[in-house]
Amino acid sequence: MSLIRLALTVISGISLLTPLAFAQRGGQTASVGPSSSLGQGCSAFEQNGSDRYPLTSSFQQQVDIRSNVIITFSHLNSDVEATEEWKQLVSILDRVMSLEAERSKFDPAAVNVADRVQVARYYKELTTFDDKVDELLQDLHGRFGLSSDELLEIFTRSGVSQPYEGLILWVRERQSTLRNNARTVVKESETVKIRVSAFQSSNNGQDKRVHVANYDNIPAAQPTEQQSLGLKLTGTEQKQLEAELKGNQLAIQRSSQLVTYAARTVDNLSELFDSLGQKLARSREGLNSLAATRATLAKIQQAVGSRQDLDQRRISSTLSQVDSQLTALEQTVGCLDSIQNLITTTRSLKLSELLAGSGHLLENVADCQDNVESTLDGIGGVLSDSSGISILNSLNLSLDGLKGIAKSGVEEPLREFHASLDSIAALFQFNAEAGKQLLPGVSAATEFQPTSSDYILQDLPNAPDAVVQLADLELTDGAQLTVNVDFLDKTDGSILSSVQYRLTTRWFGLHRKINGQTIFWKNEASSGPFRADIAAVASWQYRYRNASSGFQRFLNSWQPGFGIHLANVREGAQTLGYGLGLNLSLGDNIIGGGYGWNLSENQNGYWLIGVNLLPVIQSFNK
Amino acid sequence: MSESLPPLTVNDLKNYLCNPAFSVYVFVGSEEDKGWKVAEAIHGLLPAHRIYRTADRSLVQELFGDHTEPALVYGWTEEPRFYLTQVEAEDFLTAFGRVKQARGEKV
Repeated sequence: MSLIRLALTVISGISLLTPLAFAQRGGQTASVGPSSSLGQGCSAFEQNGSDRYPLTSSFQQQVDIRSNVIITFSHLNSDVEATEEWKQLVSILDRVMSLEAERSKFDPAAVNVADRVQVARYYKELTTFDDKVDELLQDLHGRFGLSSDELLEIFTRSGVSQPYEGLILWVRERQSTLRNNARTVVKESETVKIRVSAFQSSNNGQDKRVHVANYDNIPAAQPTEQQSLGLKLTGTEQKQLEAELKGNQLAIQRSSQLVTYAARTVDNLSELFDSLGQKLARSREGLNSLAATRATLAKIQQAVGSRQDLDQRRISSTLSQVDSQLTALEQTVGCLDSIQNLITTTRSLKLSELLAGSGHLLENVADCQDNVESTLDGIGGVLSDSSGISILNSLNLSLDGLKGIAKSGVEEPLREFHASLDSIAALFQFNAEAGKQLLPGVSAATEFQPTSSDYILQDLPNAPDAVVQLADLELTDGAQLTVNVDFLDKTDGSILSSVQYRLTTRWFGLHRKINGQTIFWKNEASSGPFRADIAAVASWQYRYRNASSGFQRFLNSWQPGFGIHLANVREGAQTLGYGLGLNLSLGDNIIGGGYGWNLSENQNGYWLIGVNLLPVIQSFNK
Repeated sequence: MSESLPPLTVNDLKNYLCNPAFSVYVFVGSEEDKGWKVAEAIHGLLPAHRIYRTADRSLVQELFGDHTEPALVYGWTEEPRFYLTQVEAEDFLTAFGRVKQARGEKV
């Protein structure tokens, strides 16, 4: 592939165009509505000082917490080349040309492999070149949202002899698409109005509207100084820290209750299993008395069998009913026996099965008891002559025995068992409940802006830039922001198309992060266990804006930091004790460890391990 | 340079590996495999990088040893640097990262 052919590809790129499925990827393609081309009518970028970074609606993006998010409609007047995406594409094109030119200059055959200095220089130049290619790929991946497969498709498309040529064609196609969309939008824009709104997500699921300059009447917030390195907190940060400290304190209390509750439930269950085992053993003994009862019934049958009157038939019928009730009772006790085996022998606790099974058995036992009682009454009514009295007494005694087993031996322990299973279910729900109780504190901290429904609709052809000044919003690191651009029909106000940008605010570069943590600390001189308490932890850490190397990506992922903590460390009968010390943290100040000194009491040294439980609990509830 | 075994032999391949002016990528699979397309794309992007393919693993068993992965990445020496699984070999950015890493290691 010669440079000449590559240059020809650039110059004649548009004429070589063939449709590609992924050619529609890019800045503003996640639009919805009947006129999708309208969605191409805006572009967004983040402005941080003199630096500009294009924003895409394809995926969630990180923006600097001090920057301005700007939605622009300037290219609607055919000024597509003024858009950030266009400039990015031009930049890509320049870099591709430069890389291809540089690539063709490498001549491995000219390297004298015996000359170590020359070889070392050769490797260094190649490594630099590889880094440039990697940076280009990461930009295509990160800024244009191209996946591995889409990149592969670009580089291996049919009709091109090498990857750089495929990339150049893709850039030209993308530019062509932008230009065509701009033309279409200009044509359609005469009848369109624009509405722009921005929302900050809060933990309680209710989004809060924030001010968008030129597009609403929400009063702009008063700018406050937001320190990137100092310890001074903004109002929002203070509220967030208070909420985290309270939340972690509450989590400690809840955890303590959870442990006590779990231990008590396990004890209760253990007792219950033992008790149930004993009582059901008695039930098994009762089954033996059933055999005696059947023998008694047989005697009654025999005694009345010789009589030829109506009473004989009634007695026979009743005795038959009694027999069937006894069979039912026998089956019920058999079921209970199985349950008892399940609990005491296998200890296999499938909660749902046991709950369902025990409920069913309770109904069986109750039915059985009612049947036995009514049957006894029936038998008492029909057997009134003297010949059957003694036998009836014997039968009554047997059945009373069975009633006793059913009532005290089975029903009550099953009810207890039911109650315990309910307790276990409550235990499992506890974490979610605890999380919900903690969240309002955090969400309260994010309520910093009154809401308003006063939108300012702008005519599309002359629409001014929509600006969200993040620095004025007192956002915290990690805050979620959504900016919606709606294209409305001028006549009926219906939405023709919408574009949504999803943003996460971040501190980039060296910055501090202050959080509340639950700490587990232990006096250096003490041999006792770790104690749980709370601490405010300030950590200084670094985040790369565009992580390109493995080390930078590692740093961004793990966010290690170094800092200080102010802890509540109480010893003995102390009601209040302050500790101050040094910290190492990981995971954006979620976990860490350190060493400190108790300032209030004896200046003992202590070790601590800290964790911010709020994000952990919130992640469970998502 | 992108070539196949056969007609090349493993001895040819070993000779190429001796040349410290090139990094090398060996792929086991057919010409239509996605992993081979990835290898070709990377080859097109980087200078001084050679790729070899064979459909018959037994021909390059000597290089792979006990490894069953489909791709083998060399840096500037005869020492294998990375064995890529099928998933890794078919992921363009991952495979590129491995090649770059192997070429970035000091000799």
